[in-house]
Amino acid sequence: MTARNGTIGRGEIVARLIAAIPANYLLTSAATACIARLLWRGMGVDPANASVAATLISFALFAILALVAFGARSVVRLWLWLAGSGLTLGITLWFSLSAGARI
Amino acid sequence: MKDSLRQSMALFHTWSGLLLGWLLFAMFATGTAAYFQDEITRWMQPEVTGDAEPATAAEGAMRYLNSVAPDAKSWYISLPNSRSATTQVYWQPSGERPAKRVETSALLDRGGHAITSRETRGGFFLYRFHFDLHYMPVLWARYLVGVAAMFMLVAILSGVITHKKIFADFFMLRFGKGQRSWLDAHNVTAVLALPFHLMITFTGLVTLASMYMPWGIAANYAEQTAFSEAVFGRSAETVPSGRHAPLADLGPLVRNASARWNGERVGYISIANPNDAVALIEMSRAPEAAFGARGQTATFEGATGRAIGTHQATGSALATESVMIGLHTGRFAEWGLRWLYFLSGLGGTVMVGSGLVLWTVKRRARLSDPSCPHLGFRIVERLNIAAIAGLATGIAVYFLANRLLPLEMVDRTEREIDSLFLAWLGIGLWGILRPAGRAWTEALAIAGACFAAIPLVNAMTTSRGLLPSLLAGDWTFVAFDLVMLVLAAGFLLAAVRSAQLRTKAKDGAKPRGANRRATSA
Amino acid sequence: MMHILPATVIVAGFLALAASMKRHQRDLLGRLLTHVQTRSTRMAGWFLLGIGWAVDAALLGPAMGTIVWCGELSLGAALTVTALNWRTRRPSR
Repeated sequence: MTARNGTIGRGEIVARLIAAIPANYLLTSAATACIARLLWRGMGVDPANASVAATLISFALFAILALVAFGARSVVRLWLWLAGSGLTLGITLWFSLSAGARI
Repeated sequence: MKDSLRQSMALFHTWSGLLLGWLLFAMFATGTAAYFQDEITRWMQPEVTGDAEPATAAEGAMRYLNSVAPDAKSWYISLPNSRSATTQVYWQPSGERPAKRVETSALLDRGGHAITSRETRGGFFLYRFHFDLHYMPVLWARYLVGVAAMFMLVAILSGVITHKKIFADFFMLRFGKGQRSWLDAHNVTAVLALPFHLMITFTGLVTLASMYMPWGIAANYAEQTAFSEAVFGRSAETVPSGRHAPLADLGPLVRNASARWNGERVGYISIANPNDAVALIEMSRAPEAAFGARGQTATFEGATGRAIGTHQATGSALATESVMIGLHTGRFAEWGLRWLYFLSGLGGTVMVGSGLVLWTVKRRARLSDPSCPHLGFRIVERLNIAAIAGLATGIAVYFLANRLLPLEMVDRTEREIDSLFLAWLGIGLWGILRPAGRAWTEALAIAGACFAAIPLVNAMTTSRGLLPSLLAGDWTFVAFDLVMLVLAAGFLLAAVRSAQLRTKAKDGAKPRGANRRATSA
Repeated sequence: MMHILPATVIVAGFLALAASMKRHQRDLLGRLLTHVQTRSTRMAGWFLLGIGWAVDAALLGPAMGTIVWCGELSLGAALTVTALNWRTRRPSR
């Protein structure tokens, strides 16, 4: 079951590994925090339930992103997506936190 | 294009499954055993018989704690459920110095007397090892276990993506015939219990969710304690007043709480600042009555016994989380469902184990020089022996040690646990020192022999052997001994199979791995 | 004990599903089914699995019934595959 096509180089594997684990964790964390903020501040769910709902979703999100990191055809596109969505989520979170304090 | 996706998913499946596969095997095996942790504890405490009533047990526990730690910071009492007969108590001493676990916990019988003969952690140890491991800080262990669980989740998903065809070929699955037997064992156990595998892995992550993904909570709460209060309804820590006031009798309070919950049992009591004027008693409903792991709680003033209120976290997300944890631990399951849980868990164990062996089987055929494989291959091969046959032997030896170590031994609990790991280490070393093929056969045979020895040793050292238990209708003991015999048969059969395959391989056929438990799966 | 009825229904359902697949028909029934028969067998299979759920839900309530049903699906599938193993030798793949 090893890759026999020879198109996957060592550098690409490393790039995908970094995308699949550390970058994925960062992105999932940001997304989880954003969902928790959105549910509470945006949709009026009570904060405890909002936090827990976001946490429950996070595991599915992490698993799917890990699969995508290895399944995506182009590593460059993958990283562009990761960076783009990470940046968007980070900015959203920053605005959300500065607009309304935590408990 | 489709092909390249399948290929990368296959690669992903192989490596995510392998990397922490040995840990996952141990988690699956001990977690499966933990579905019967109360029964295992009963078997390991053959002197304790009968059932226990929560209110009486609580009174006994209170007497015990008042005699050993009247001025502790807090007491925790885990009351017997409908399957167990003993009470577990812990306390947090008033001093600053963190005490050793053995010094601040005790197992009590129905009357509240510490069980000092044949001290054991019983099935509880296997349950805790499932996520706390051993000989290492609990915190690290839980992170490690969480990483392994996530690897498991992605391994399952990538496996499904890679082998979609397997579902169409569902009825073509065949047990252990011919050269594909390892693959068959892996496929059969994976596909048949797939709903269980997905559920158990995801909910396993959820049980420790706030450790692995604290950012959802951190986004809304500056302080973790504020979140805990919202969910569990308790203030983090109250400061003792220093004024002495004896604790109210727990028995009536347990009955009171139970009555509030339509007669459902109280499972757990925690008492902050016992015997102080500001003492607080909190009771939680036993988890066996409903799916949700987080049941209601009832709080009482410690000194007067006055009910302060009941609490139950509300909201759909919290309820979902609670049910997920409940589904994982299966405490609500009655007998039939409990056995289904156990069988599914056994299936998961075989799935991980056969997957690990499959890695070597597939690669062995491709080795340039099969008599001298490369280092990575040899490491995986030896680790497989250590993880699969080693852990099995270790668990069997744990049970044997329970019967064979002197009853009044000092630190007996720890020696029992040490014997598990010594046996595990022994098999690991055996696997390194012997040629791999032979080591498999021998290690599997040792595991089988150890399991077979358990009912014999039980019959010789206690009056509750298989035959007397059968006559007395003591189904817990009968089932335990029978399961040991089935496991023994499985491992011995696997040893014989691996020996046969080795002889065949010598005759010039393609070298292959052994076939373990595939037929009994 | 209460698993026996729904588990039997589920095994019957799986057997019907197997019988609705062409490559198993000769083994299970000794002949090939017509198109219409195949389709009705398949529908009967799914229907029986559904009946299994209904029995569990009626006996245990929808929540517990669904959990038990999932366990019984695994068990029933295992029994069916075992039966097929025993009934037919390894086919060529």
